Amino acid sequence: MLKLTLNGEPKELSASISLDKAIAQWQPTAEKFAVAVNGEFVPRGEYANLMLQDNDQIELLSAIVGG
Amino acid sequence: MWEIGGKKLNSRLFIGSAMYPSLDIMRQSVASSEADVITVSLRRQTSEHGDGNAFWAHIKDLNINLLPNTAGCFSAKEAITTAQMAREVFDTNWIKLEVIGDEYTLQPDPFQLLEATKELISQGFEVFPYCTDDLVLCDKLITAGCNILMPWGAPIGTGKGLMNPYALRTLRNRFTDINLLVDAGLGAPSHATQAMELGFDGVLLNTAIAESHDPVLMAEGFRDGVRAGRNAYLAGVIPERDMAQASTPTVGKPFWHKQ
Repeated sequence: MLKLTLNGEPKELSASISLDKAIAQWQPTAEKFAVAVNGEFVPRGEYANLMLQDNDQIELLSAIVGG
Repeated sequence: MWEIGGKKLNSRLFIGSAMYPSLDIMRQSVASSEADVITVSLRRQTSEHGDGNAFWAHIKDLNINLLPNTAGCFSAKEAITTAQMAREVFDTNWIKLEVIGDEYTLQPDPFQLLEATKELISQGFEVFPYCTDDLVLCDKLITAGCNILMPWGAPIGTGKGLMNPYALRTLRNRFTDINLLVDAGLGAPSHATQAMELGFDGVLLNTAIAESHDPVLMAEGFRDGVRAGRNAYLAGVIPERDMAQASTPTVGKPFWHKQ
């Protein structure tokens, strides 16, 4: 069992899986988003190659108003 | 038309997308401002912010250039990661680089800003640094590769206008080939006019429009204020005099008799 956080909220995964599979599991509704793991940006093309680890901190950010 | 960051624009007003009473009023305000650039941001998906889909639909409809920001970042590292994420989401290499050093004034951290600027330029970003009006900092940002500087007029959201016109005028006089925009602190269209009269290439603001009683009308006010200031700069504002100088010709005036 892996314990990690998604946008600051605790999440669990039964085993280490790739980022793209984890995202498919979490089903974000945002049409456009980008991801960072442990403070490092992960380009979309790298999702399938990145295996998530215990204690990983994932940020999934989407478009919002800004000044 | 004028050019900034590799794009040709008509308007010299950059407008923020935050704090409007509704997304529809935001869209109407942007339209009435006739701005060609709108600032946007990234956040976690929350119940308050939603998933961004409605906002995304509105800004796509505007068919306008997007300038993503790194608002809320307090370190170069955070700002760099946020900029990279913004480039992927918004599909642009433009980044309004904000690295804050003080929570109360939201004053930029010049050291972290310079560090982030160097890294992002090396990664191919067109950096629009939100900076103070410090001459030495601005010089170092240009040396780092910035073609654009965005010194503050006053702290974000204060509406104080140009706190230090002398410093802004100095930047204009010293950096004639750099695009200069006043970013933040403007409260009234007259403040935008003043910045443009100094020879600034544009202004960026959000709160003064979004928090007015009628954002759509205020957007028109700023649109006109920017135009007025630009025209005045191009036409050449007369120097101040201490003593009056009659504008009506004195030769031939009536009721005058030789003694």
